[in-house]
Amino acid sequence: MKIFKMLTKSAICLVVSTGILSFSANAQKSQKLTDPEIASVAVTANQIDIDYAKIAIKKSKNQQVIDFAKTMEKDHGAVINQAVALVTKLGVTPKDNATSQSLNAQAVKERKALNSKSGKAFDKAYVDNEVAYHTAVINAVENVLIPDATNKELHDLLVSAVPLFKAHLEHAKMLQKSLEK
Amino acid sequence: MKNSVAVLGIRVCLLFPILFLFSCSSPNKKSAANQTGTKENIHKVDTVTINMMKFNPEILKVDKGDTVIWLNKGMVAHTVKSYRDNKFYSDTLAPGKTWTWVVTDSAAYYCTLHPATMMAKLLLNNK
Ligand SMILES: [Cu+2]
Repeated sequence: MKIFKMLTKSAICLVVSTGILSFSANAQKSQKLTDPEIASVAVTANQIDIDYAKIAIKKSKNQQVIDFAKTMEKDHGAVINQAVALVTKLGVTPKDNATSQSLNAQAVKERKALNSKSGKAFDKAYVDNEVAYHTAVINAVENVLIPDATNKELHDLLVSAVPLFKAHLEHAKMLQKSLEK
Repeated sequence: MKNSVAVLGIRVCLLFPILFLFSCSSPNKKSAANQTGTKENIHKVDTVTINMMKFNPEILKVDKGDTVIWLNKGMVAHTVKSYRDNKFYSDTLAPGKTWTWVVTDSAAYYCTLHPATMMAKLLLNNK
C-alpha cells in the first residue's frame, strides 16, 4: 500500500505538470519525463515486479501463487527485453531519475517485508502487494509515461503494455479472492 | 434436381458468350458454384489472433474438421487450453508463433498464463 501511495503521489505530481489534472494550484512545477527517463522508469518498474516474483517462487507453497509469480517473471521480463531492444535501436540510454529512485527505495522496503513473512501470511502479503503495485503502475503508465513519451515507438510499447498489466491486476485480484477462502 | 442443373448448365453455356462481353467474373462464378456443390468435403481454415491480451474473435463459429490456427501477435507468451475434458492444450505459445487444432467438438478455452481475462469459445455451426 505504501508503494501505491508513493507511486500515486509521484504520478499525481507529474500528471499535474502535464496538465491532465489541475486540482493543485500550489503544486511544484515538475518537469516532464524525457524518453531516456521513461525508459529507465519502465525497466525499473518491471524489474521490481520480477524481484517480487522471485521471492514468491522461492517462498510460496501455493501452486496458484507460484504459477502467477512465474507469469509475472516471464511477462515483465518480456517487456524489459522489448524496451531494451527499442532503446538500443533508438540509441537512447535509460537515464536514472527521481521516479526510478523512489520506486527502487520503496521496493527495498517491500522486499524486506515479504522476506519476513511465510506460509499463508506470505501469500496474502505478496498477492495484496501485486494488486496495489499493478494498480499504481497502470496509473503511472496511463497518466504519466504515455502522455510524456515523445518517440512514437516508445509510446506504442507503453500503450501495448497496459492491457498486459491490467490482465495481471485481474489475475492478482482473482488470487486475492481465492486466498480469502 | 439433375434436370434443373442441366437446364442451368445449358443456360450458363448460352449466357456465357454474352456475359463474357460484359464481365470477366463469369468463369469465377462457375467455379464458386462447383465448390458449394461439394461443400461437405471442404473444411475451412480459420485464424484466431492473440493480441492486446485478447483472443480475436472471441467467439468463432466452426464445423467439425475445420482447422483453427491461433497466432500470437502479442508481446508475451500465451497458451490455448480447453476448460473441460482435455480437448486441447497448446502449451506455451511464444510471440510470433502459431498453434493448430482440427475441430472435433465445440469448446470453451482460456489462456492458463492469464486465466482471469483471456477466454474465448469455438462454437459448432448448426447443421
Ligand atoms: Cu495469455
